[in-house]
Amino acid sequence: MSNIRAIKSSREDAIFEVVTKILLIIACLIILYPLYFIIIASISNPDYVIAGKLTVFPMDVTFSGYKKIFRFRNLLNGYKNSFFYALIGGFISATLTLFAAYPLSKKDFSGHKPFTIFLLITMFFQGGMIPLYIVVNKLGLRNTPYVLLIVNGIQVWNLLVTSSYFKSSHIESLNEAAEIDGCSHFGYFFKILLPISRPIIVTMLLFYAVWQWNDFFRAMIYLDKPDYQPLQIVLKELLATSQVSSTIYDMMEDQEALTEMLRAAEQMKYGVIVMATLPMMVVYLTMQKYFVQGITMGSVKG
Amino acid sequence: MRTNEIASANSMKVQKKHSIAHRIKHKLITRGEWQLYLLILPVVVYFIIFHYLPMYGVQIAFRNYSITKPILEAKWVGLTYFKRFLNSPMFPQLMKNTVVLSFYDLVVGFPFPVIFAVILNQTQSKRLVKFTQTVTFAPYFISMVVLVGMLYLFLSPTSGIVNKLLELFGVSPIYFMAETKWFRHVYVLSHVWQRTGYQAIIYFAALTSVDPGLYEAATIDGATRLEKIWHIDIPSIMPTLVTMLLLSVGRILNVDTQRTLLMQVATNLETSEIFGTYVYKVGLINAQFSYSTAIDLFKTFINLTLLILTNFISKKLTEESLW
Repeated sequence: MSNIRAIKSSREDAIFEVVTKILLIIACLIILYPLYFIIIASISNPDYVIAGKLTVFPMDVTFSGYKKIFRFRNLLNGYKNSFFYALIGGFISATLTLFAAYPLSKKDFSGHKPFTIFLLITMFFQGGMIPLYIVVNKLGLRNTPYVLLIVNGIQVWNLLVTSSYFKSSHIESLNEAAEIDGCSHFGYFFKILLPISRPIIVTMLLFYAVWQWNDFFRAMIYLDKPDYQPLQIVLKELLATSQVSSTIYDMMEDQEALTEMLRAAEQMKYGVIVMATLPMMVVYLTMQKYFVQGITMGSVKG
Repeated sequence: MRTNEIASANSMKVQKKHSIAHRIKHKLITRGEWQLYLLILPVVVYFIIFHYLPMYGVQIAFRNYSITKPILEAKWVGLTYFKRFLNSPMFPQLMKNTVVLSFYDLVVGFPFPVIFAVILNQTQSKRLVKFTQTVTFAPYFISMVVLVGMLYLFLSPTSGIVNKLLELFGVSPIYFMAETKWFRHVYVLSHVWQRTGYQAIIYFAALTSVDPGLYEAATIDGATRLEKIWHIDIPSIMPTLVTMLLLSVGRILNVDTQRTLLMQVATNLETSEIFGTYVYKVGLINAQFSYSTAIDLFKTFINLTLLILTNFISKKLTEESLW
């Protein structure tokens, strides 16, 4: 009896395994194909792309799109600005988050409860767009390069994830041992806790840096001058402007010159997408090991 | 260690004799808590300035505020702005658009990461699991501007790959990004594409911490794979699931303003105008600060009410709650 069952269940297992594998492969293809298409479209002759002939392999490979992109000054400036915001902003935000998460992770700290409540309230009740705008304005931060480093610079969710990482049991027992040895809080935090918390440090640096790199809304609200604009604002103008021109295109009489413009714009768009996304993808793939570890260790406990 | 003991013994004596001041001093100095306060100080100051000051500024929703004068000098107008909003034709439209979009996003977007995590957990091939996780997490790193740019490219009626594909089946080009009826579908499906892998991580982590002994016991009892999923996997992610669901319900009126704003064109306003985009336009483009803040506050109020309500119901039904 149990033998039959075992055979039945092993056959069921085999079928199940095949089905789940196929599903996972489909999921991968759904994610990968659009990304792959962007890459091959950026180096193919735009005529094929516009005609819908491009499918699996790049056609009539040309780098003219990228050459045009590198002549586009605003874009390069945006690139430079975004690197600054991601590096400096990521560093400041991650540092302050790690600092604050340690006291929050200590249950016997007299400020544990008040500070936790103090921070949690802001997750559910915000002053809103305009009151924050007024504060930023009054502080004279508008149209300065600092505004993007500061506004929304610390996120409560990240504080919670980091503090629950610190809370996880094996670290807590270390903490107890250190306290018995008469180690100060500073000593424990800087000399013991931080060196063994590499996954969460990398995760926080990455989270904040990626977020700075990808965010456009704050720049739209607080920056008017092009000098400090991050890459995303330039991209938004680029990807949306040509979109408008394609609607105009349908209505225009003289389509000759416009076709050429549209052709160039189309290819540029694909190239720009690749250039804007590549740095984050490289960072993600190289740091991936720490990244998933950091998120899961933080979220399971909390 | 000995000095610590003596110190604490001393302070115990002192505590009996003296006031709270001494107890605080003991905690701060002897136990070195001042170091903890110092570590958290920058974040606390930051939150006071950039979160609590704006909360104080919310009062402009009840005042006739203009940027030239200080808040406290502006005249009180009570609920004028709230009344104006509730009586305006924008109110029912915003309410409907926001709730429908949010609900649609929740109903379609919520099961995907759960199912995906369960499938990942059930797959034996660790290499494929690892690879799939890496791939599906990647879209999380694509910015919203780029994602919407991609949508414009792929869905373009003249050159987009999607319309070229539909053409093969004899379907005439569809203006996905401009038509009122397509906005919600494009919004929700692109969201699923971008977020499923990221959201699944949390569920997957909960699943991998399940005691393998449970599966072995179930195998001995002759449980099928689906039975194992139903009786082991689902219960073990239930707490995470309820928490995530509660948080989503509490944010029902907080549809992603940025994503919507990027996908908004003049022709799809009928479905794409939501609370967030309207607050932005009224406040920052038309500079009606008080009116915009009133609408924003109204939205926050509904969100909070919903959160408290769902939390209460969940506490009664499943004993899971946020607080």
